[in-house]
Amino acid sequence: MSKYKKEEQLSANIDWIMVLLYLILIIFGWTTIYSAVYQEENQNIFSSLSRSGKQFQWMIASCIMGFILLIVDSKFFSTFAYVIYTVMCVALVGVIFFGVEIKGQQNWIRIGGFQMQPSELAKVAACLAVAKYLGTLNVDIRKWKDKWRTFALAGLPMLIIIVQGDAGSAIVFVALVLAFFREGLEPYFLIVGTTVAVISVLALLIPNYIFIGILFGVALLFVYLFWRNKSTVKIILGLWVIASAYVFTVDYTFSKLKSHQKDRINVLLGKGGNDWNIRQSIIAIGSGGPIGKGYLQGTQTKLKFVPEQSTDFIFSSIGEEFGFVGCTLLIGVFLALFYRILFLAERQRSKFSRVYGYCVASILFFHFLINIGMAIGVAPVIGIPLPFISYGGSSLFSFTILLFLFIRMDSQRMEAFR
Amino acid sequence: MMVRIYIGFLFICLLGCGIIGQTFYIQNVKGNYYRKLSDTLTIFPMTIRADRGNIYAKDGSLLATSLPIFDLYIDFAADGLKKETLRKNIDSVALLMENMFHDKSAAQYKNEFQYNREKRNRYYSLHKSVTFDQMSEIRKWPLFRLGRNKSGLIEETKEMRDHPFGLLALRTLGVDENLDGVYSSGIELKYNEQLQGVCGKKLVQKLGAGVVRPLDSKDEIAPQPGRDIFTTIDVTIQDVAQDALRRALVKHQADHGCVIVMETKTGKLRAVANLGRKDSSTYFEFLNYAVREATEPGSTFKLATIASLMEDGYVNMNTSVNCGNGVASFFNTTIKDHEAPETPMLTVKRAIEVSSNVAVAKLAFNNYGHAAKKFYNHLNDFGFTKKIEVEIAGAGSPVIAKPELWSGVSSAFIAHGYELQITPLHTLQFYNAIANNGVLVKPTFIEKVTHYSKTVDSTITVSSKILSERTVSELRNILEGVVENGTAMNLKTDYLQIAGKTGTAKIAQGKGGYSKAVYQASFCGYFPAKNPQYSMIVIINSPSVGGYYGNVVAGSIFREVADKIYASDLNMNKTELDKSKRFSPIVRKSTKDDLEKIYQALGVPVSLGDAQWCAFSNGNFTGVDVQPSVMPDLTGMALRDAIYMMEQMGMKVQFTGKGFVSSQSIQPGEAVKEGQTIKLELGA
Repeated sequence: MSKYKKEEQLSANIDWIMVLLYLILIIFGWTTIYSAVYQEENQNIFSSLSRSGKQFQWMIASCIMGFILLIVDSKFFSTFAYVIYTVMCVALVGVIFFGVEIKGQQNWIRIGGFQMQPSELAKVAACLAVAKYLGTLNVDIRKWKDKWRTFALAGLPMLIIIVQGDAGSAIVFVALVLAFFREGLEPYFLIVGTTVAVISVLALLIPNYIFIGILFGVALLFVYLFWRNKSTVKIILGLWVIASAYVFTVDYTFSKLKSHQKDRINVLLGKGGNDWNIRQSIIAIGSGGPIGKGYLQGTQTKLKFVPEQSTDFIFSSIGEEFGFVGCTLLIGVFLALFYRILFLAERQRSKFSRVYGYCVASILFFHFLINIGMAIGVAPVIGIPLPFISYGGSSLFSFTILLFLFIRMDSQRMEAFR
Repeated sequence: MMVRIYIGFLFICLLGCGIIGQTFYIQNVKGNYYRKLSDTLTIFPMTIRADRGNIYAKDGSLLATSLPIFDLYIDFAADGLKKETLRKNIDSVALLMENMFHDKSAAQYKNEFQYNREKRNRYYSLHKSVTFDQMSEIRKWPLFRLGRNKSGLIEETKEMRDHPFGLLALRTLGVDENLDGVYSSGIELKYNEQLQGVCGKKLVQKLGAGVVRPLDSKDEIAPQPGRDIFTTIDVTIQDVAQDALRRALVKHQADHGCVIVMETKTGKLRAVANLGRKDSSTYFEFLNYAVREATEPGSTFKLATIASLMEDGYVNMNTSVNCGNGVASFFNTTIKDHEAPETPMLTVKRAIEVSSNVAVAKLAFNNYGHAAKKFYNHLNDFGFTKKIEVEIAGAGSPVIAKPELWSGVSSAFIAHGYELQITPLHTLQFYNAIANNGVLVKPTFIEKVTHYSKTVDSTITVSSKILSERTVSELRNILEGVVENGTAMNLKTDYLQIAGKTGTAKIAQGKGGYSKAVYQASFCGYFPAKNPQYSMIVIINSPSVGGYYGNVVAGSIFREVADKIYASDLNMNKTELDKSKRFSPIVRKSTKDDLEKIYQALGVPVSLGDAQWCAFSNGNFTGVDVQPSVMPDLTGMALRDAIYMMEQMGMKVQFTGKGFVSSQSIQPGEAVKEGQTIKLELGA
């Protein structure tokens, strides 16, 4: 194939719907940031002194980056996936020692006047590495060996980020389970995972011995059902013992958490605690009503009742000013984006890009779910941004790379087996 | 695998719907609840500061009012303050600061700016107590005109008391030394509650950063402005008193002094001047000596002793006292006169005129030596034992021992103004009672208190009769004598007779006793002597140059202030007109009827004769003979009269100039006929 023809195909194969959804989101995010940090004295949306101005600079940078990614051959990333992954892991470790502390988190590096959070880029690297591994011939996640290796690839950066002290960003990696599931991860992993999660929550809500008693009752029910099968009865009783032991470890682990983390969990479980942020956020969103107070008319967010209203709690600003209609539209755009990604992922010829597509979708979806969930009080307050909307250069930049790599892979999908 | 794809799609879809569902619940089901909550959260009660009341002089001149002043700070870490902007403007701002305040050089200012910028000081104090005018100027300066955010300039508004008359009666008004709204003295302190008013409250809703919307609410509490206080201070008299006091203090290099002027009938204080030394040529209102400082009064107190003796019937003004050679011993102490008396035997009147210590001490010792209580009771009646409850804070209490504690010689010492401490106001109050026919009037600073221009409180004159008519007339005779031919002869003039008593007290220097070098010169009295309108006391503490005697140091201030008050007071200058010396108005020629009416109204008897027209010459009016068809002499007539006369004769009048007729175109005596025109020239 001639070089000329290849270039002609470049623009023709790009999924413009995805690019359009991307642009809608970042522009909407930008105007919302402007409203969230609006000041009477400085009304210029482009002013580099305000967050809206800074975000605009990052938007330009991100668009340029996105454009570059659309030119670069995506084979570069599949080839060097492990290298990129290794470099990122080293960078993450480096941050622990050489990083700058901002807002209590030692996970920033400062280059010139810019600050970056390598943990954001680490998501891209992890997605590439996982996709690369699962895309390798003969690798099957259903095999134990491959399963653990995949988990390890996703788990390593997660672990380093936890050490950095940013549990919120670390939890995001759990989202990759969705991609694994698509690739064949057995359902019992999900069942076990969900069960552990439910037991953890109940263990915090119900006094230990009563809960163990309840578990025993459940176990007896199963014993009655499987009375004939002696080995099953043994397994059930064994599970009960393990579960009971686990109940105690939950309490212990909880007592070892940092106070703000305990607070967040307590608040979510309805056990009181410092729920100022969430209450203010809900008041802001609720006071928006069906159609909102109008752009720049929000009082709760303008008056700084809601903390972090341009970053983690930006949804409160949207909810207050645009109301239910605005929220639904935004959520609709997001869901459309996720479906588009999954749709494109399914049409990939290479397993690498398909897995990568699923990874992208799961990471974005997890951010979306938790971020909006915490703003409306149904998810724990984990400081993770709303993709493309929240203020923050590194996150916008990283999400752009994450998404545009996939768009590029998709545009080259026909070359996969040539 | 297809199942898994569907599960994945379904998973995302369900959770997405879950979020939309929860949003719907919050916004549509509980929307109203949260909206109300949101409104209440943004509504704040805001305090509205009440205007502090003004303080006025007797005539309504403003003595104290409130103005806004500003404390300026710079937030060197302001979001909008750019390095480049600061660099460009730093020199001009530093220079402008130097030019406006002269407190630091431009270089110093620049250094401070740079240092604080480096440190990112968010609250650098640029300057305090900047006036409104200066502030308007500063807002136009480079950098600062960019506004709060880009220059970091923070203005904090405060309230400052402004005194349009400067130092005038400042101590009496009261001073806010630290500019923090806390008054430490004077009327401001005593009447603080009334002056400050009541702060209001209103609900405001915060709309955006820095935007506040007042709400129309019935719950609003309007601020009650403070009440206005009309003092009895007369700015003219106060100014005269203060000026005279200042010059005298500088002249005598005294430590401090005060002058109090009081209206005799009402006790209203028309002037209270207090000045203390700052340096050799500058005196300032430091303390309200007049009301506050209790000292040993010295000779001015002798009158109280005599009054007491007279009331008890022990003496009258002609009673003789043996003063010997001006030295008397009481037990082991001696009391001396400052010079030996002209004769050993002095009448009481003469003794006071020459201010004999011995005479007064002897009289008191002989009569009250064993009846201290009797003496004390009189002093109590005269108001010397109690604090005077005036309307300003910090009134001083007198110091006088209870009679049970008096030693054998106490009566002799108290008699001539030692062993007790009273404030100048006590002394004045007593002298005023003598001027006021024996009626003691409580001194007052306050005329009335008004609120929204309505009088809510006015001072009632509190008085009590303390001296009999006879005593009063004798005391007044004595006080007039002091000026006529006593120690204050230097104060005697033809036009305004004053009455009073000198005092030259040695000042006790703590426990060390009486130093010979430190004196307190005083003069207390009233004027005009025969019909007292004002009482006044002048006290000069520690004069060091040009004498220390009360008559010279204090008396001359008394004279000067009294003269100026007298000269400017119409009520005191009602002299009867001598009818013989009356001038006739300048009328040269007019009709008899008019002249008669005018002179009748003025009450001047004149004889005008029988003629219709009269002319004035050589102090007498003579009739003017007017014949038809013959031109009369019009010179000296007013135009009205001239026109009247000519038109009666059927003539037409043209005129130029103004004043009386000075020349006429048709000469007197010429024949005229009807319709002829005459031209008149008017002049002085």
